[in-house]
Amino acid sequence: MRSCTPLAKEQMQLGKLVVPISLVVSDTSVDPSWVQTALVHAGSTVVSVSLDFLCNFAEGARRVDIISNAASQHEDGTGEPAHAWYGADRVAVKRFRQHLLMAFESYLLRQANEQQPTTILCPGCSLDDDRLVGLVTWIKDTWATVRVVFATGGQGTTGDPDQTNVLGDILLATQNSSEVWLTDGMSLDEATGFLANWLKEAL
Amino acid sequence: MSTKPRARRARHNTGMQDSAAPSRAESGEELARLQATALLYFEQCRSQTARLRTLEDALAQAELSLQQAKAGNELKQQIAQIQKSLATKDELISKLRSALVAKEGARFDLELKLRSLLERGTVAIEVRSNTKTANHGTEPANVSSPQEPAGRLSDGIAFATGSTLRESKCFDYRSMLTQLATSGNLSSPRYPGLAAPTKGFLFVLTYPRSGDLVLQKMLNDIPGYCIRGELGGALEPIAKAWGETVIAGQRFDKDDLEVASLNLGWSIADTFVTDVLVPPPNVKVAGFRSNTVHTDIESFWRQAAFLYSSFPNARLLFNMRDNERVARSGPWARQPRKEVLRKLRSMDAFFNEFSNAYPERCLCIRYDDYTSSQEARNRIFEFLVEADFLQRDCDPIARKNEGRG
Repeated sequence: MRSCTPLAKEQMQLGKLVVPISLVVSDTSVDPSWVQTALVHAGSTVVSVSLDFLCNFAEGARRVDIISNAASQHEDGTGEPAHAWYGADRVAVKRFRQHLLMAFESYLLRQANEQQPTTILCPGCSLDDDRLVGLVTWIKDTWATVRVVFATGGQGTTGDPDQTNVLGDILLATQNSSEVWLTDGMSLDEATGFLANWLKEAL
Repeated sequence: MSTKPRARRARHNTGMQDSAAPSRAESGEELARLQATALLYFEQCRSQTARLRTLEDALAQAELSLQQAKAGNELKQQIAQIQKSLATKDELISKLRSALVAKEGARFDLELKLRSLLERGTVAIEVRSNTKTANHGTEPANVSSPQEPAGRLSDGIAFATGSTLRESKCFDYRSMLTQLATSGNLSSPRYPGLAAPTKGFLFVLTYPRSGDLVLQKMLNDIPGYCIRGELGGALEPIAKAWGETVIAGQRFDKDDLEVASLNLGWSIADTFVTDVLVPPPNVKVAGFRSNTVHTDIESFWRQAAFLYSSFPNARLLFNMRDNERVARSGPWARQPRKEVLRKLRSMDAFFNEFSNAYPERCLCIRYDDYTSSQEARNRIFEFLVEADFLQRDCDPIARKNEGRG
């Protein structure tokens, strides 16, 4: 387990996580404790959060655009009535956006007992959830280096998922910025080894 | 099978004819002897039969005893099992008691942690009683008096198990922030935004065309008040996300999660005040007006609870208006009337439910009342602890018309 270095803390103050975080979205077909154990054995500091939390937060971060637009219109005097303005200018809204991310990261940090979290685990998700595309897009826009992985049951000889199913849709919609981990037939040791390699790759 | 005896009897008969015939007396003796023997055998047979019957009775008795013994054994086993179950039950009760003690200890630790967190310069406050009092008197219920017993912080955070935020009543920890504004401990280096308004926060929750703009202007006429406008529910998803963290802390009963959740709420609220509301210097009360329509109570509850819990000394004003009139107004008039009325009635019900749950710092008001009655306006000023405004003629409609003029 890595502890949070002063540099990490400083960078987190700026809203930048030092270690690229992996987001593992685990399907209902996968035992959540199995995934968590495998990740921990592989040396990852895991923070488990609900998909609802992540999706709502992502949506909230996106809606800052509404405030930003209102601020722009107010500054430019382009017709938005004064009663629909919160008082912020564009610079302040930009700061708000960053502080919102800091609050998010601080929450993760607290959950990881002040260690640098390396993996956010979303257990028990339905891959039919149409919010996933928006979530992945927001995650990649915010932290470009984050690896997003969908853990799901199923075995493939090549490891490539069927591009015609829901998962395939998600992969296509997120422009291949996410990956699939087919967990069926893997023992805990195999999963640990696989994840250890994969995390090494991510670093 | 019977051929040989017959042959023997035939030979005997032949022999009898050959030998000398026995005398009549001998024959009589022989007969008597045979009769006696037969009688003996008969008696023996009868006694054997009697013994046999006795044995059969004894056997039946033994079988009966055996069955009774078996039943007794089963009964004994059942009793043993019941005793075992009782012992297990006692053990479980004992464990449960220990767990409750441990849980209470954990809650106490959380209380200490929170106290330490608050005393580190975050939000130094006094913890007040959770006793809910109706807020219709002149004495504002949300101002703690020195005589008021200090409530346990752990009582305030004692989350009941429930699936929804509303059921959980978890926002009782609002009490932690209640005295923030009035205690004079607002100089918080960690959350300067939350400490900026000297008297706390005020949020107006309502629906479009409810006269909310008139209300906003009326409130902004109070010196030191800065109530901003609506922005299409920009804060709602964040409030929902925060609600998820509260539920997670509650579900897993982890103090760290609860503390993390509290901090998340305060951090977001602080940056929202500093970077979005941007109240002017020396502001007394800051806030905004939201007229987002909620169709489900969970979504409404999360927003209201976030505002109520994460902003120090936050008061909520729920503005309602005659539904029929609202339904005929503006964009509502272009929608199916039945559907509009259903939405408005739901919103009014949500407002009532929340303000009934947290009457200390919530008030439901009606546009038709405060625009026509000084008494109704006084109720608002009492709620806001603005004694200077009591009995002052501040008819919002007249003010609105003045503005137009």
